[in-house]
Amino acid sequence: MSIYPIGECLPRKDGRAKVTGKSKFGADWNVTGQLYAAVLHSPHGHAKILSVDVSEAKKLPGVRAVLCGACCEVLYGHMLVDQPIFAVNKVRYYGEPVAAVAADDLRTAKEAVRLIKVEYEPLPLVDSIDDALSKKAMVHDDLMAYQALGGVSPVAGTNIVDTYTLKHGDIDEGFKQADVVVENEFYCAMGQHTPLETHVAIADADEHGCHVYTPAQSPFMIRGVLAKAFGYRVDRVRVTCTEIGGGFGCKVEARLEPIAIALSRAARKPVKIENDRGEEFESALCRGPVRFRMKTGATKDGKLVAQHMLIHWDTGAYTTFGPRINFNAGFGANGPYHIPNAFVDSYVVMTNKTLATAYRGFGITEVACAHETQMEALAEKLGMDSLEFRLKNVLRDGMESVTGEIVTSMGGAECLEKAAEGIGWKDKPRRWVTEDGKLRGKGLACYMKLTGTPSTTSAMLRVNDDGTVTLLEGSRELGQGVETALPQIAASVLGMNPERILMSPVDTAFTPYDKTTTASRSTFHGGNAVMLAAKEIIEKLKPLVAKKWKVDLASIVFKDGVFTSKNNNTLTLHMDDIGKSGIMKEEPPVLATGTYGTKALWDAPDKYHQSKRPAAFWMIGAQAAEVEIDPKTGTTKIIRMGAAHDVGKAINPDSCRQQIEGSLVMGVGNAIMEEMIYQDGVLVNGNLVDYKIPTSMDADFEMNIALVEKPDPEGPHGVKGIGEPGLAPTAPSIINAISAACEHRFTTMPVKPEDVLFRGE
Amino acid sequence: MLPAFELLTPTTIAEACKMKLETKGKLLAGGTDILVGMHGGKERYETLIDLKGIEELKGFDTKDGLDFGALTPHREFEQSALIKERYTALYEGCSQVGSSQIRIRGTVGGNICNAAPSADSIGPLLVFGATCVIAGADGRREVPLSEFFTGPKKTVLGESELLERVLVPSPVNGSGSAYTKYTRRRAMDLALLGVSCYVVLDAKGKIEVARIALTTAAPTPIRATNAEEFLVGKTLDDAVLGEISELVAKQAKPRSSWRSSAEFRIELVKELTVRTLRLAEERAKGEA
Repeated sequence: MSIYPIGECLPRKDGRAKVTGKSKFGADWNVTGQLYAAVLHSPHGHAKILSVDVSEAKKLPGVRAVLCGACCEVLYGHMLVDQPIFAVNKVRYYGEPVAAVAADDLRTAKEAVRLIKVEYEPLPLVDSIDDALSKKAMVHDDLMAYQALGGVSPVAGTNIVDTYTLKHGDIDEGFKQADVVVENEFYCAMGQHTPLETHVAIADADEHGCHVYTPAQSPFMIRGVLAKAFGYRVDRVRVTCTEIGGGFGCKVEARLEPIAIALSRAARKPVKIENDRGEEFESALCRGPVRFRMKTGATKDGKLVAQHMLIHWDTGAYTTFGPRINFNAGFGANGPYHIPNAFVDSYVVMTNKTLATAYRGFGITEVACAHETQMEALAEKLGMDSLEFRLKNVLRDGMESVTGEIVTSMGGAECLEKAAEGIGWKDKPRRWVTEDGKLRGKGLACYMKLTGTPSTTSAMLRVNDDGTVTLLEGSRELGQGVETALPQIAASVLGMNPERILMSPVDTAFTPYDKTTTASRSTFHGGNAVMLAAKEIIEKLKPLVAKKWKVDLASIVFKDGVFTSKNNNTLTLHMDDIGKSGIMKEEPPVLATGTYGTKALWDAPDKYHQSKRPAAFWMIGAQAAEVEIDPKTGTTKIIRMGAAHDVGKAINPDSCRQQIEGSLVMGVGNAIMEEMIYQDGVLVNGNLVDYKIPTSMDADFEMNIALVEKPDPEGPHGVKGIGEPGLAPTAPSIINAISAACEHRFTTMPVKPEDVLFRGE
Repeated sequence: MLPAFELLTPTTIAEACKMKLETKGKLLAGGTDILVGMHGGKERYETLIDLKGIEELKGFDTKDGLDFGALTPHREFEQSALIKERYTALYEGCSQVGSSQIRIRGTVGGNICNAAPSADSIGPLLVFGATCVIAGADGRREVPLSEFFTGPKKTVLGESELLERVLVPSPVNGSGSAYTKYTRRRAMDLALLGVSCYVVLDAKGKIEVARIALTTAAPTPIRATNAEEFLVGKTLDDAVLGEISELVAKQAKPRSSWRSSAEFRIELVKELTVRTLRLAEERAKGEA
């Protein structure tokens, strides 16, 4: 049964402002009397700072504050408190902030930065995962000396900042049952979120508190980090959220905010700071590289029996959210399969590179590359169609997952079928050669991802005097459509026109708490909170209706947006007419809150990450790709892609499809283009000419998208998440298709034309 | 953010030459290279001499070959039916520069003077046998485009000189041209390799004249003269094309960098030269 307006493709509420240029993104904000900041970045990957001389910079007219590590010894961090605002004693990555200037105008600030003299003594570079493991040099002298805030497990005397172990069944016994075993390595290069809007922040701060304007994805998390770093009371840190011009995970962490606050405190004036594109590449955040060593076994009739994964994530020079990627991706590392014996041995290492963080899926694209390479390789070895092979092993309701959970609401099999259908899988061979000599191939990939658990959120609904409703909730509109979906959910309970419900801007000064806009959690968690608040609104309106009608409160009935009285069937009042009816006039204002958290349903995982319920919900989906390779130039052309994702319930199907479409294009970049390249510790392609992201010309392929709806019992109307999932299987399905076309197993992301041309050499 | 600089705005060529000599300033046309470099902090100039106020540097005419002012934007060639028909390779080069905004702003003269090994307009102009008209404080001189470049980002322009016009002989009847740009993505990219070809066929379909230019295959755009000489009197059969790909590979001098290995560029030179020659031949025959 459908409930209006659930499942309606309502236009995006933020759409008009965004396409007409009215939206105010981070850079569009200015505050009276603000100064402008410029940062001096490290030209070395790893070097001792012998001296910093800021005297000339301070003399430049218009300069109001100059700071460096020696005068600002604040450490911050979301998981491990290891990051200085400005490098102290040594720099650990190319691009690391070493000093900064606040001045009356940006040009003066930039000129002043040029006057800062720093003497460095280069140190041995920890340039790779192997360098980190071999302890060629130490990125940090003592990881154990830092304060750990939870969810992080540094190993003393190493460059390892976190470990994760998942053990299910008996891996040795499992491999004994295997008739075929495949072993592979897979390496994912470092990538960048490349949001259209670079990082930006304005801070107005003194020693008592601060007010920050920032396009934050997680305002409350950032508030906590800033409060801790600067010793503020939490309520004295105000985070006013600007519109976000692209997040994808890179706006989840405090990044420029600490610099702005430090400068503002020193200059006693508000300070604005904005990355240029080069700075965004060098010193914002990235998707860290990762290396997998996988071993998977199956019986000759195609049943998976064992899988071992050795994973090394490179999180760069500071911990950031690396351990969270390790954790989330560790749970998903075996894919949506029934594997009775599984072992994941995973580490986060530190290197002299820029900092890794969440990148649309917390490592799920990468682990999907690993396990889906294995599925293709096993199917090939067994002589099975890889769709059949996957269907034979995909988790179905009632099965036990590798995390020890009996799974329910699993749309995996249906997603696989529909994704494959999207490219006409069953009518095509694995590879063929076209009349003009091009190589065609098809590839498939699926994934399974959890949402962060436990987590909490809260929502508030206010009925305005004209009967419109204002929704306050902390989820950030990142393009995923939460500002439209949450009002749709509110309207589904209130029975009113969703056009009459608007979400308020997010500001920690008045918005109720929400943990974060990550992990595809907002519609699920926010939706539940909104539904509770909406139900309370109705209960609060009932007495006002009864009073107006002079009937007994117990006689008031609410159904489908209409109040009626059991005592008098001539009395009706629609929610859309509440304002006009005058029932609220001079009555106590009608507002309600709803709170939702998942701690109660969560079963804390044991040390081997076994749990009856590690996550509030799982996301599952599949994609298939057909590609064409020019064998003489190595060029890959995407011909078509089929995508099917289990969204639980599509609140706004257009929004869901748009998320997947955007992911497909983003995933093409991951699969065949994007790579941050370091040479001798220096990022050499930190610009949008040399770091290739797809253009709309590269998005010219057929997309066949299916939404599978296996309702989640706890999700509002059955909702799961779709913000990240579209990206997860895109690159692996394309890489598998390229491998099929070329009859060569590619084991890197991206696969570049050069790799294709010189395959096997 | 642009650093502070002095902006000079001459209105005549003579004035511009004098300013350049006196201030050692950087000549600015569309600014799509210079200003981008300055914004990113990579380049700094005390003085920029903006040529856009000099009317003599604008416009092109096609009465006797192509004679275009250095300030002609790429977009003008992209939108000229005549250029597209007669100077097809030049059309293909100019219409693939950056984005449409860049092509409206960026000038062909600027593309030449920036002297990037990857410049899209240079290869086509090389195969059409273009000549640069250079103006300086001491008068004018003409230099074949093939001798204009002295190294990556380096030209023969002297202390007071600027590129005034470019003269391109008219392609003869029975000729065809093509430009192939190899990129990592399908728009808004620099050429990882570029091949430009111009061929003239005789009545029997044999090659009378062949010119091949390679971009991003050496420190400067170059002509593959060995292959050109070999082609004269031949027809483009598989054996000839096989020889050609070896000859161009020998003349190309790409270097390995993080953008691409030299080996990969060599493979591209071989394959794309064959493809581009074939296309030029088809056009010469009126087939494409």
